[in-house]
Amino acid sequence: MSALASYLRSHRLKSGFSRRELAEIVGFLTTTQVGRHERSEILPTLMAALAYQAIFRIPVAELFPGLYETIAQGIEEKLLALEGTLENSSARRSKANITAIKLIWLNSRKSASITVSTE
Amino acid sequence: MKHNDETYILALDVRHSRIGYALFAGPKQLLDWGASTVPSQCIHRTSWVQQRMKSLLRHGSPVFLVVKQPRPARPPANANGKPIIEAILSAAKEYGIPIQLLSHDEMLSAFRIFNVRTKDDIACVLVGMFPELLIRLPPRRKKWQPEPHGMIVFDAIATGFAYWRSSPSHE
Repeated sequence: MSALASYLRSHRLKSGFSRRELAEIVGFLTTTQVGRHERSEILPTLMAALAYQAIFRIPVAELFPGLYETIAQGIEEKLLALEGTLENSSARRSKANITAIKLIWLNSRKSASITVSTE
Repeated sequence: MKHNDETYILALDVRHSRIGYALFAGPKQLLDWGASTVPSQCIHRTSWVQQRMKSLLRHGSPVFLVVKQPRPARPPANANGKPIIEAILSAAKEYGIPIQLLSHDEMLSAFRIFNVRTKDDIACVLVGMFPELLIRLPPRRKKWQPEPHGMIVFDAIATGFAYWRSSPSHE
């Protein structure tokens, strides 16, 4: 299945809001920003992303799934690399304990299912 | 071609100077819709259309493109719309997206079960399926009036709907 980079336009169209109305609600002076966010030309600021979430009552990760997937994939790769480094490290005593805690946490994280819902 | 319920398709209705589009995620989910006007002063109309199409294909990433075939009974409109259709086809080809041209008869047969006769009737049926379209529903056209500007969007959505009705996965 192919996902859109941004579902902002879909949700705006469903709500019936015009770009101008949405821009006013979020707090933009012009409609340009909203259009660019809809086309995924620029990344929304944290304030704007949370504003969209609050307006449509849909988590940011679901509004911008393409962006979320890219970030999540990068994070997974980095965590995997860190895990490998920790497993190969030869620390003693207190440092070894911290390494163990980190590895346990990483393992429990793997088994935990990821939920993006905020409700 | 068999599709699952989450397949993205882009449906187009092409006129002499306008393109209506609708992006479906499966038969029941309408993600995006709208219309683009080809600038009348634009010398390179086909390249403008190609750019617009590329932008739509990039944004929507559809796996299939459905285009309503212009009616052969109207040579002038057909002659004007032809370069636009060719530009659309070449943009889709560049992205490797398969295309299906849907004839007027196929469109009508998809809506036959709703007992509709006019475009206004079809638009009303579509509003029933996708209530978010209600604000875009143009007023019912009188016989002496020209077609409302916004009807092209409903034509594009109807094209997409007709495609889903005729696709093998629907049977």
